[in-house]
Amino acid sequence: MGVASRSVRTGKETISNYWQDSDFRKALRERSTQIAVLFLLLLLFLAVFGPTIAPYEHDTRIRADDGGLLRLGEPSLDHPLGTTESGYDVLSRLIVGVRPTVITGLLGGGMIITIGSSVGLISGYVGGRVDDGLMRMTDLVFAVPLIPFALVLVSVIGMGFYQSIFVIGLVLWRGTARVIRSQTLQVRERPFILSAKAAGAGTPYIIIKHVLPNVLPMAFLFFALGAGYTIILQAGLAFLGVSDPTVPSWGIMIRNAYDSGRMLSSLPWAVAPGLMISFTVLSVFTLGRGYEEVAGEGDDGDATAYAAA
Amino acid sequence: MTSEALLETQGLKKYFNSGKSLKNWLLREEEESVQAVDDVNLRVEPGESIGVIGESGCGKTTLLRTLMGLYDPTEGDIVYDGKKMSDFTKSDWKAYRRNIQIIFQDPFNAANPKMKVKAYLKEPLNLHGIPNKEEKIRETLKQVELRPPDRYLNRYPGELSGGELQRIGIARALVTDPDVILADEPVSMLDVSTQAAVLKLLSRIQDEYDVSMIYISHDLSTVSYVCDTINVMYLGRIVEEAETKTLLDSPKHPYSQALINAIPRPNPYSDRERTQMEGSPRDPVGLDTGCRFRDRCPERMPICEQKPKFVDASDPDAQEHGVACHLYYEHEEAEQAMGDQQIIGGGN
Amino acid sequence: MNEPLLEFDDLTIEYETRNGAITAVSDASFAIHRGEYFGLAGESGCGKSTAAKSLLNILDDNGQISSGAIRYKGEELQNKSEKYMTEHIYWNEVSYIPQSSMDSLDPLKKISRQAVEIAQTHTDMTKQESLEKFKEMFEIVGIQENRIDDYPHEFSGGMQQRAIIALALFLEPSLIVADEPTTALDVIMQDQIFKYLDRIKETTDVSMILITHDISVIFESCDSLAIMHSGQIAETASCRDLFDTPRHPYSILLQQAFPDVDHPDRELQTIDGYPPQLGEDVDFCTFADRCPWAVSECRDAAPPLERIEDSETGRDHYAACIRTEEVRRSYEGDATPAEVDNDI
Repeated sequence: MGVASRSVRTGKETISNYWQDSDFRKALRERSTQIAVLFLLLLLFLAVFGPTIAPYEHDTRIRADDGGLLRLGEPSLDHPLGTTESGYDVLSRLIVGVRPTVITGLLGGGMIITIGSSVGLISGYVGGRVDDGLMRMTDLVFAVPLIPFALVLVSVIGMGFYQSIFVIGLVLWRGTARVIRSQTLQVRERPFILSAKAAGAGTPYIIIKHVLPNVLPMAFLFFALGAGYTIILQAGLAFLGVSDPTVPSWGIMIRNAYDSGRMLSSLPWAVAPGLMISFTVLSVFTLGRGYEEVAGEGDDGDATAYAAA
Repeated sequence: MTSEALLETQGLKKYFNSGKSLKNWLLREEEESVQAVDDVNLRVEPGESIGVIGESGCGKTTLLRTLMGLYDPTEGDIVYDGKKMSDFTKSDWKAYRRNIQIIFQDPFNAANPKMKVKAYLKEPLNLHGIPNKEEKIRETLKQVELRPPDRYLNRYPGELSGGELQRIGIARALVTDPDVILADEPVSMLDVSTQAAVLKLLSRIQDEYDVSMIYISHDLSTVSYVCDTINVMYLGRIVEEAETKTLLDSPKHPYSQALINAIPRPNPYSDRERTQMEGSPRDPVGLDTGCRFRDRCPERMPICEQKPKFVDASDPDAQEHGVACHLYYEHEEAEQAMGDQQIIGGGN
Repeated sequence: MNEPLLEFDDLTIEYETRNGAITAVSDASFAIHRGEYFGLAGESGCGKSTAAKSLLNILDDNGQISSGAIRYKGEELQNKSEKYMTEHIYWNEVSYIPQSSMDSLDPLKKISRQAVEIAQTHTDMTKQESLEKFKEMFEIVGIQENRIDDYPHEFSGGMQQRAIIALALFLEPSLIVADEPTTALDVIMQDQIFKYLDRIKETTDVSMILITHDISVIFESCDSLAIMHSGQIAETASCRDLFDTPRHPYSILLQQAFPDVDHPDRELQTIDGYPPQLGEDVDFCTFADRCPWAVSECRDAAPPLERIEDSETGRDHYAACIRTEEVRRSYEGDATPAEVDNDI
């Protein structure tokens, strides 16, 4: 009872305190970060409303004037990016593809930092045999090559969109774990941890209330990186045919374009999804980096006082 | 003076293993231990403030952490309110954590930078289920002269100065109404003008709250301002214990004498001589039982190969004054001979 | 030859930050003579370190001397290039012992090698000659000569500090700038080091600027001092004059704030408030808000350094306060500032 329920309560308080913190707002001062955030907000919007506002359904077969399917149609007013070989509107598929991409990023990133941070925090704070065990496990996961592992796992759990994300999350948490652990090791030595111990706080309480808020900036950065990597890798897996082909993600779009053998002749179809993936990941990384630069300034906002000493 | 000690240590030892190296294992050597705290007997009575003075490496930090319960003693006991720490039940520990509080050295890092002052002060109250939190916090902030309290409650540590932060550290220590406060160099990171204010605050708090204090520092001049009694620590052992004035006026242990003498005086006419002492304290590793100061002591004698007893060396009509030094007690013939023997036999 | 060895003349140093310019040192003036040990005292952030760094042209990138002059042996240094400083000043005229001395020795090189490198960069000495000189220095600071071939980590903390002092001295500079050289050391080690610094003072002609917050150390080891508060020089005088007849309120209060182990019962003086954050123009007394003698005029203009006549030691005594008369009466007559103001 006692400590566990208290930690949950104070966990919520921790998060709300955190968002009121000005670090995030400070990061938004940089122009590059602002652009990145705007782009990501646009994506979020499209993730929710995309399918509603796209001109066509992603699987509407476009008919040509003569009644047959408009395959590989040139870009036109009705279809700014042309149509695919199956007669779908490229632009619509692009817009509808935002949602699975955002889901991938959020789910993947979320999984990576949840597993990674938990392992890192516990390993770093508790130390001893627990640390040894967890780190050996992390080392094992580091040895795993992602794509082959994904292929193998998929043969076990089956193909699918969520399965592909799951597989990525299952492997990529390793980097986060190491970094969070080293941060935890540093935070652990600071007097305020000792102070909490001396006041009688238990280990779970200290980890959640004291260590976590101080490694949160790093965790946030890794969420951004994790989301970015997941999106790219998932697109790769989709391209390889490991994901669910009916989910209209950008990876599948590239796959379809490749399968048709017409990548060069229908450039918008082949290039647009690739560009979108690039921009998305770039924005996510830029946001993460912008935040990290600011958070790295530390708790002494009076750097100026140091300058004058 | 047989009043009950509130908190005391009895023969307290804390050794650390420096870790078996491959060489140790191959040669089947014993691991050398770091004898950070060696047979320390301290006592503090209700309302009393005692200082523990020593230079870096003397073990005072380890002593503090062992008192806090962060380390398990290697040998010996810590006794609080008559009960030994090794016999503590869970509720005894709870009570201990409520009644023994700490003030840390580094005011900038003693509070979680992501936590507001209000939450920081509330934390011990939450952990111990003490009611009337808002009221208590406000009251305590006023006690440490941070007025009006509202100006400080919603701030983050990064927004406050060293002096303010240290007062908040003191407030946190006071908020549970403790019996004993352990202060770890509370003013050493503050500017002189702030130091004075905080020292005076500590003095005042002691009187008004009737709380005992164990004040640990390397700076004798600040300790003497706050403490009634001072213990001098060297390489893990207490070498002298006396009332503050008595110690400053007539230190008995050669180390205390050297230490007090080496303190600079704020007076350009001061004609004190520079220290004659050479070298620095040895590493507290693999020490034998003999006096740990003997390699630097100007009064070294053969008998010093043996561990000196802690004896009463009070001057007549003066307060109690204890020293751990062979100069201050009679030795039997046999003991003397043993001392000589150890020197000849290549004792360390 | 009464010309000072080093003169700071109305020196102002500013730092550029994101939030505008900050003044670290404002119109600072003081002088150091040959063979004199001079203390530069003040609390953290008062500008003492900055002033010293400006002398050696090692200010941080965003810092610069905006006005005033630094004269060393009559020559102005503030505009000299780094090349000039390396060829003419560093190590063989002015040497520097930085605050974190532990980091100023290369852990991968023997001390002797570091000494030789320094000698060969700044002088024409041969390797043999420099090693000879260096050994002599080791003797003066009380370290065995054969230890010049040790690596820095083989020395204990106090000995490292002395080795650094030996390095700072062996090219026979005229001036050493020591920035908090013993702050991190225990009291006995500190005393050991000052024993050797005393000896150096007796046997050579070298001058020293000792920067520290610890006034006791200055009183015991230095001939004169300057006390700084928030970028301004509050008072400068010989140690004895400042002790006997302090004229600036900060000098008085600061001394009284130090606990004295010979008088443990004495009440410590507290100083209210904090040193102010300085912007671009400092045209007021930075101590005014903390000063019990302050009047509104104190905030109208920066108080100029005024000569104080009664100097027993013959060394110039200056204080930057427009109320030195009232302060003197208060201090000598033991009246409170308020009583003096009301002419009680």
